[in-house]
Amino acid sequence: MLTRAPLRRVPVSAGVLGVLLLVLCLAVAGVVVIALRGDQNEADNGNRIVYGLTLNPSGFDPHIHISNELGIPFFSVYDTLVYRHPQTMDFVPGLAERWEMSPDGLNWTFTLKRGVKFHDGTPFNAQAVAANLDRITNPELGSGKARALLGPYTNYTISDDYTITLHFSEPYAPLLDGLSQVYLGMASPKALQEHSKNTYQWHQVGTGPYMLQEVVPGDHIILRRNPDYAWGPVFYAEATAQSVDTVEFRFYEDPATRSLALESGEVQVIGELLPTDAELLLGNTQLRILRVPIAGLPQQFFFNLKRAPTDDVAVRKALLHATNRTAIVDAVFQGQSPVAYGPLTSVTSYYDPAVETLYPFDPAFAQSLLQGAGWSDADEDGIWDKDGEPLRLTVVFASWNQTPEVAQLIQSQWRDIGIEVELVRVPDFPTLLRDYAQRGDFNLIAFYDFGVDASLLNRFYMSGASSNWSGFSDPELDGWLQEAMRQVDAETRAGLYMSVQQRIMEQAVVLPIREYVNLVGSTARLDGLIFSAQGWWPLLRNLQMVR
Amino acid sequence: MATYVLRRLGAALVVAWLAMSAAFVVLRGLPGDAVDATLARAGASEAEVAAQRQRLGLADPLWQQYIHYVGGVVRGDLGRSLVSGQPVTEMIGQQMGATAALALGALTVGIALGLSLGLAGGLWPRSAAGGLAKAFASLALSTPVYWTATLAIYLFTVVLGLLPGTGGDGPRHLILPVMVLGFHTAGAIAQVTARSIREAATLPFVQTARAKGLPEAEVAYHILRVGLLPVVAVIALQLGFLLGGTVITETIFVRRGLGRLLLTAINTRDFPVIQGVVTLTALTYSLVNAVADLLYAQVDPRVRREG
Repeated sequence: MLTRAPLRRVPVSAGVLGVLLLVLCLAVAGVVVIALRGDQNEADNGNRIVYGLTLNPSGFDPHIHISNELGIPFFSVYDTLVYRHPQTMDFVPGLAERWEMSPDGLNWTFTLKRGVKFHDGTPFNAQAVAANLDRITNPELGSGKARALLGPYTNYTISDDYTITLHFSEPYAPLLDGLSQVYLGMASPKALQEHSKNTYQWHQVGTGPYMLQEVVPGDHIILRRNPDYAWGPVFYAEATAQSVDTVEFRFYEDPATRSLALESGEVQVIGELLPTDAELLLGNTQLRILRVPIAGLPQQFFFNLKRAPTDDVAVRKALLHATNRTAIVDAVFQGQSPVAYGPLTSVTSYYDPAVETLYPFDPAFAQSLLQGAGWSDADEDGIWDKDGEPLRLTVVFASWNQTPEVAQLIQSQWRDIGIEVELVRVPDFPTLLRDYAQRGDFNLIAFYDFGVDASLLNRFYMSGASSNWSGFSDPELDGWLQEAMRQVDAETRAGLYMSVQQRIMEQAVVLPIREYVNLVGSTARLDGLIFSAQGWWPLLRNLQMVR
Repeated sequence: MATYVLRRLGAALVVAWLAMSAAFVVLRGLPGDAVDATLARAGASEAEVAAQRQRLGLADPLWQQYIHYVGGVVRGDLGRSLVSGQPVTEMIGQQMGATAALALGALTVGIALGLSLGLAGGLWPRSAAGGLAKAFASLALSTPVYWTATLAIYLFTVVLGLLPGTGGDGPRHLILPVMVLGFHTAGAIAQVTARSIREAATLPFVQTARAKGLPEAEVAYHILRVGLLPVVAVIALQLGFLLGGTVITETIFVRRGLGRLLLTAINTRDFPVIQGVVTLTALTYSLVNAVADLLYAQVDPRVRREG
């Protein structure tokens, strides 16, 4: 019995299996063929470009969210009351025609441009500015950056449709710098009302040269040129037939994919190329590689002044002398970034070049400093020690910006002169903050921030400030930083920040490594790719397709 | 049969609930929260950070947060993102289609390729075709996705210019990621298929069949009936794994999807989003496995009797 049943079933079943497999293969082939026939016309772009962003921000509302990346599209969707000129760094009129500070520094009056319209047709006026200020200062909004940029702002007075005065509880020198950033871009009051605080980010409406056309979260953002735009700052070019009509932004989080996407023509502009990739692409005549310097703090490590052995200024100075920054920049960044010497990068306002000569690479001098501080190699194991304790340091960092490679080179450079280094790599910022920075469980820790105004230093170096993880406390320096916030006069501020930078380096609070440079790649068919004074944000208005 | 189905569905729900609760607890054990990742990172003062934590309900006792959350889930509300304020169900809805397309495509390729390779390797282990199939499967299993993915983009997009490599929602953009992910899925399917067929070939009934003088084709049929059973389970496992998010593939090919949603959410400690994706994944996974078990019961009467 057993033998007969299978006899009949074998061919059928094998056939079924075979047919199934065949159908599967055919289905795959069919899908492939249909798909290949599908969107074939993509190559014909017209004045349309794809711009590769390097991360997929979890929020895009400049009034709420903090990422620099959001400014890449939205700097062109909004206008700000004032702009910084990208070349001179001076403040030039934006939506405000002119402005005036009262002699006591507590009131700033802005006279607004006339005839400006939001993308939805709403007229721009003092009431619109007021609506934006109301939104940003409402604690329910949970603003991460915009509110902080307004400093000690209290309220406003509207004198007429085109005049608004902002009031402050104390003089606030960085106001114009704050107002020039995308986070304080002016949004349409009508759009703000039509959408909730959570949904506005998908429907943003400004007065800028580009209009938000479409957002598909996690996939892309599309901007379209604003044909009515005629109120731009002096550095915006006139629109021509070669102007870019449509810009599509996509998110290239994997650094290795960025150069591939650029080479294959899938993106026309992309930021933050790997230094090694940028070096390779330099030879490609179809492409251009731009090095865009970024104002703010350099790539750096803060010393922990509260924990041995970095509590000793002699040890910190020795470590600065023992670090060959040029070698690091050459090896990790292919020489494509300037070496950093102080707490600010050289394109930041009030940068003091005097810091550049303070700590030349000099291992012998570093060793003599250690000797002078009472270190020796008593047990002759090649590692310095003092009171039986070896000179051992913990360096904590996250994986951003090739910091792991930088840390490895520092480890080997310091090992050469007898210092032991333990490297701790953390996955993300919350871990860095909670497990290491706040517990003081480190000797050196890597962190940074970007911005043009030197008041950026406050949060890192003022006594007890939110990101002062070093535990640095110097009443005189606190006084200078506070005074620099109240003094609007540029020369006075420059003098104060000069003292600040020199004091920070005299006390060796930070180990600067290199200045941030955004390695941007673009097709050679695109002209006029320049960036705002803040460095990250392209002036899409000035882009021109080359025929 | 009906009780069997009900029991399996009940078990799937329990697994999803356990996964959700585990995610809830484990996430709170991680250093930092969404406020650290946003406000504190931007340099806000401790008072502002504390106020925001209060507003988002992160300052409440854990059991209160849990009850609040579970209460929402029962009503179909997975909460809102702590960063963007978007409802989590909406966020998942926006990304699910892309992941499903990628996962099902990759599974189709994986099954077709994996079964063919597995059959070749299992039925003719000593032939050239069998050896080649085994080598191919080993390659698929031992190479990392980011390597094959980058290589595929380089080859098919940069050098040959045949297919779009990154970005884009169109079906053309699906081909490379589906092929790459399907290749790796095929590895597991091929290996299990080949091994299980070879094992089945050593069972006593095969000897009996051969001794009775059955033709080799018929013997093969008997071997396959037994040997292909475990493959159903592997395919179900792979599908669950694929649906759960294909983080690396999505990132490299610049596709949207659940994997990338999850990745962003973990970096910003966006607890409700992570919990939502984990719960959905667990639910899908256990449902797919329940269906696989039911299929199993249909194919193999022994399971049905025991169940």
